[in-house]
Amino acid sequence: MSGQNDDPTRWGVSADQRQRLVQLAYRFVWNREDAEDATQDAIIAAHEKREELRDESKWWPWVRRIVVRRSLLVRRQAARRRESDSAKPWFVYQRVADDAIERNERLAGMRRAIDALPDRQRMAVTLRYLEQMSYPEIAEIMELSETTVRVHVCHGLESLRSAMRETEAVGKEPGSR
Amino acid sequence: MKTRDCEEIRLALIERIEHAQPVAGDPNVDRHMRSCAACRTFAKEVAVLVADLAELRELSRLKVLPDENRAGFRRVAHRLRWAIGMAAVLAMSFGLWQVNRSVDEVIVDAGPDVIATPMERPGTVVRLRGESKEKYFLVEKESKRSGVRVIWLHRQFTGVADKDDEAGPGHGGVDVLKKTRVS
Repeated sequence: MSGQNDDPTRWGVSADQRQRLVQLAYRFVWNREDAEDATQDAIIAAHEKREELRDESKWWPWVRRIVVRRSLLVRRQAARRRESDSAKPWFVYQRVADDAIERNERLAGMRRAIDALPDRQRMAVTLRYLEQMSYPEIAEIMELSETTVRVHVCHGLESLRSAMRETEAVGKEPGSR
Repeated sequence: MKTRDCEEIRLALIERIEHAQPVAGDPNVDRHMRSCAACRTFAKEVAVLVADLAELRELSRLKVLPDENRAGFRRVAHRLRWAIGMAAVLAMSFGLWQVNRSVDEVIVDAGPDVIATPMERPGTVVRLRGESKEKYFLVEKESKRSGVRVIWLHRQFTGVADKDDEAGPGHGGVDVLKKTRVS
């Protein structure tokens, strides 16, 4: 997108807030370009639906919720794209989050294990441990009770634990292409 | 085997691990942990996982590009690009002009040793090749009869007569250094 749509102030989001949203999206899509796109779409969607927001004080969690949902959608689309491109060399389509992560096999495996979690567990674990949000904040974004979020975090950690254990046992990363 | 108690205990364990508190301390948790090997393993592994997640968080922190999304920055960058472009064009033009000028300096009008361009008007102070100081000046004369332009190069009088000196030392304070006929 270009022109007016690039102007963050036009959509009521400061450059700093936008950066934080891109970082949030990145933790779900693991690709800067996709994160930028997801954020931009989410900001526009938030602007268009602003009338629906009755309580202005809830604006920030609301925008973050839209970014998370949009990121999950982008991630799914990217996964489908990868599947349809599976006949082509994998390395061309491999999205690398960060060279440093790729160098660290254990963390790369963990990243893929997080990606393989069911959506709610993934959201809960990502927002809690990668975005360092509080449980009330996560509850607001996920539109769940705090207790339910805690349960999702717990189950997410259990799933991650099993995935990592399998990885170490088999010597193969979960979801590896 | 995981029981309903385990679920509650594990939530409590996570809370403690997240706040870097020792797993032991709560009597209920301690009692359960003594009897449940699965939860003991869970506590150890989750502590490692949480540490790994913290490392992953740091490594996946995006580098903030310098104000890349600010409209103001883009405007400035746009103007800067234009300014750099214009400066480059001007520099190239000036360079080309200088090259042409230096070619012209192998003067046809005033002789091969004279640093002057055809644009130099009579009276312009010029210098010879290999000399650093500009101590000569051009005098232009035109023969009306033949239509031939003659450029004389004069030197400021130094008191020593030149063999080509037309007027002799002291005449008008100049020596004739060179005469070139230009058609």
